[in-house]
Amino acid sequence: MIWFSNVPLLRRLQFRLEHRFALARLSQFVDGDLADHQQERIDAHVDDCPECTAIVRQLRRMLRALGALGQSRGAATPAGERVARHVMGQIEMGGR
Amino acid sequence: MTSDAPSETPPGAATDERLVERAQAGDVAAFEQLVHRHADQLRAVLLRFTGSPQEAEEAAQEAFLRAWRSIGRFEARSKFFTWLYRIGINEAKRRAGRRPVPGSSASIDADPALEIADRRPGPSAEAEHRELEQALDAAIRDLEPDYRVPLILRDIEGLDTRAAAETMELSEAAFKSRLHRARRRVRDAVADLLDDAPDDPEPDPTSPGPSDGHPR
Repeated sequence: MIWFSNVPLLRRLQFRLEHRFALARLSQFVDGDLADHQQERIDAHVDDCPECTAIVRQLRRMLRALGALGQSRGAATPAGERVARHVMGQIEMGGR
Repeated sequence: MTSDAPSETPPGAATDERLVERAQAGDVAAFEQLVHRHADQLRAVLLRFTGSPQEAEEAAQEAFLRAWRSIGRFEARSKFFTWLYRIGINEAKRRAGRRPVPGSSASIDADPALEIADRRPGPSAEAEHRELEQALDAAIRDLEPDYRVPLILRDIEGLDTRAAAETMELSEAAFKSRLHRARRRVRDAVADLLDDAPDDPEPDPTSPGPSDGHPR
């Protein structure tokens, strides 16, 4: 009966173990940067874990917002022009 | 994503590698093309890093001048822009050391981002988005440079891990370890705002973010 009464406990321990494993790797997980079996292992845990689900959602939103901060890339700006003008002026004045 | 260059080589234009070779032979016009090609993003990286448009512009100028003076020593093993960014970041650090900017604390204990996160109910989506941007900016600047740079290069400017690690002269593993710690700190600082953020604040099919389906 000890065995029976301990099934929930074992399950909780298992969950804690998976939680620790996932928590340390969620950033790599959202990058898809882990080995397949690790991606799958974390995926399975995240499905069961509200905390990890929330963190994954936060990470994805944060990465999208950070990416949006850099979206001006590729566009020529007056400041970039000024930098180029100043640099070339200096080089032409001073040689190498 | 096959190219890891921040600015794609325009069709028909000389590659960075070719322009560097010509510049190494003393061709000023070739170097000028490199300057025009990289000035905007170098300045953008340095603006994120310093938080000051003037510092960013001056550090970018200095970086190009140093690059020109030492172009002969550049080794084609690495990308020109990673070398250039490294010079620029070092220059920005050197300036920051000389003239500490108030508010850009090196400590992660002080957390002004949390104050920004104190918000009123019912702001428009756009205001919320701007609030998130400001909080992210503050949280990024609260990171020590060693953690700030990975986040800027990889998650904001969209460099791939290899190029970003090369810029910092780190192994990819060491780079990633810093990147993930930096993300952790920034996420902690803006968590409340992220919980409120819509799932897709700015859909932009033309330029996918660094982590949208391009794992490295």
